Amino acid sequence: MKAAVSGLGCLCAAGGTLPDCMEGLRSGLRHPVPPVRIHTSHAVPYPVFEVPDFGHPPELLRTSALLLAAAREALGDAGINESIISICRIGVCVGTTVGCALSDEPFCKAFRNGEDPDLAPLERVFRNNPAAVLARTFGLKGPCQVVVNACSSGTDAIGLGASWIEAGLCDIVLAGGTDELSRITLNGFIALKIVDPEPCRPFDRDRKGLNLGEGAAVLVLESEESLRRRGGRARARVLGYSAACDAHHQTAPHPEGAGLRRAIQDALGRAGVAGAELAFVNAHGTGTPDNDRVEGRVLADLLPGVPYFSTKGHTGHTLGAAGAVEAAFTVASLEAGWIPGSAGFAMPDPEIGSSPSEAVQAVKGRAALSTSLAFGGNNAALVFGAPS
Amino acid sequence: MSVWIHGIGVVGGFGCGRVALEVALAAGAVAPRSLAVPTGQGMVELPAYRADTAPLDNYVPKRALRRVDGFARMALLGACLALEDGGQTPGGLQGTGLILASGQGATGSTLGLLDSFFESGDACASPIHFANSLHNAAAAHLAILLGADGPCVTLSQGRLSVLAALFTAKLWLEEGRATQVLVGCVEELSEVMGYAWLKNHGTSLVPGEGAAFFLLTRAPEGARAELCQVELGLVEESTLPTGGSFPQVYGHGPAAIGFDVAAASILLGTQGHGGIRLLVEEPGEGCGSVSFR
Repeated sequence: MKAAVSGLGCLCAAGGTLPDCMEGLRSGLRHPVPPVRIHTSHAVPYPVFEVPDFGHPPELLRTSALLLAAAREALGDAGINESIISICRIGVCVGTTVGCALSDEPFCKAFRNGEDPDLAPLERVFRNNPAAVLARTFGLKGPCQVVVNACSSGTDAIGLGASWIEAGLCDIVLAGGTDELSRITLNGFIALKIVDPEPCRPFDRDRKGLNLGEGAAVLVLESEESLRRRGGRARARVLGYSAACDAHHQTAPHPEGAGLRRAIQDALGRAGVAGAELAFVNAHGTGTPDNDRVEGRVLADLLPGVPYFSTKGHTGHTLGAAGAVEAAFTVASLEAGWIPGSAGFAMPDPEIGSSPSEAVQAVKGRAALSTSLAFGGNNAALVFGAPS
Repeated sequence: MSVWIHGIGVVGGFGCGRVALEVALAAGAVAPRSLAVPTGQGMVELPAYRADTAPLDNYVPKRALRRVDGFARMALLGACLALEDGGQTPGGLQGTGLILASGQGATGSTLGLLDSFFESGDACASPIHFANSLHNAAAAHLAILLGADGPCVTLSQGRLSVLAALFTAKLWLEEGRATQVLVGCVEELSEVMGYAWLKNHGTSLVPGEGAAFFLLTRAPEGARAELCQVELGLVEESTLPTGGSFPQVYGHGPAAIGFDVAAASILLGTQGHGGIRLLVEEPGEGCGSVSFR
């Protein structure tokens, strides 16, 4: 039996909870502004999508704290309490990029300056493996792992977590992704010249690149038996997941989207869903010229007539969280029967040959696809379906 | 469902390749080299088991390695050796899955990226160091240079990383997601990791770096060992004997777990064990086990 999605939690610049995020997407309003929490010396004040008013204990990295907030919302949504946790085998599978990186700049700077820095900041980073933090915090006893697959991390984490359920390895898996806004990644993406100095414009003819964001999302994946035993309810099911590597370039997608095609086709095949049955596609749609050209063409070719959209105009690119955030939006949109417009999109790109949704629109259908493309040539696709 | 180890590729302080590790295990000890570690009191020579990736030139053209950092070189060499040990050659590995595990990632390239903007300002961040600093950069180099276009994932779970990778590889093969899976772990003893080791352990424990790769398939014919079970989280008791570690051959630290797995696979063949089970515990992060026969 396919893994059920019994709970959802999400926070990002679009909102502090999943219902808030959906309201933000429906409103069409977005708030990209120069970073407040981090500071850079770039001549251009590159806009980002930060989570406002979010505090956390000093021993936690912000990445871990964002994940915990999303997990609390998801567990609450699923109706899972301590007594259920104590009797279930619950795994954790989480995607991130910043959460496992050597990210403490003051420590590294002192080390490079020939000083003798205390190890506490470095140890804090290594103690903050997000999956381990989540397992420790809630006393979870199942398998626990972090996926560091760049921008497809969240999608891959959910796909792997669903496999754990299907293989009978866990009753419940908390699967998702998390990333905080980091000076290091912001500087890195700017160095690669793929950051838009204006609010990002996914799939638009004049797009110039991405805007970074931050956030986290957690899906409670659950076996049918566990749901039945505790009287829970499924909001959706993970019908299919697949991943395929381009094996082409370190930071650019295959020009024909070879890996993405295989990932989508295999995920649909595993789901037993025909392309024409999809209600919509929640696309990766970063706003970079390469990603959107390749992804838009593949979607137009493989899934003609299926509406697609990008939410990164509302959230920014949340990197390791993106796949999870978009998976949460996908399930919520499938339930609600509408999809948001692609904020930032205005002019069709003739090189793509198709256009994303421009405004909120009603959709019909019992399945939806969410896609992720990543540095390293990773491509991942998740198919979600209605609960029954 | 059974999964079988067909190739073992290792590079570490003992040398390069399965036979080198086998010889070192039989000898019982290898002399460490050293890593120069900058400290507030000047440079300190830390005894360390270092990996020499020069033999990579035998497998990959030098030109293709221009932008490949030390971390990914260890991964590439380990992967090429595992393929060779399994009777395969790099290139054209359609449908092959790749799983790379690392507790700490490419810390050398990350520090290089930070250096680039510490020295010259944020606008001068190095794009090459940024690309190489990503946890999955090494797996991407592997996929591109080996032609592996199946699923590809990088995992990070401290000392449990290699177990997480084997856990996922077994699942992929059982689910038919890949025809074979090249799975490995890589840990780099960069200057900053050497500094951390020195502060925590002094020179009393010798750290090691390197890569350990395994070519896994579902076919038993010609296999070196059977990967019976991988557990993560709460680990049940087992009747299989627990395998050992060989720090005088490849050192201590996160890289040692991958070598433990390789050593267990090798010892099964050379010493005729009925089975070996490795238990790994990471304080605060759980535990895991892997069983072979």
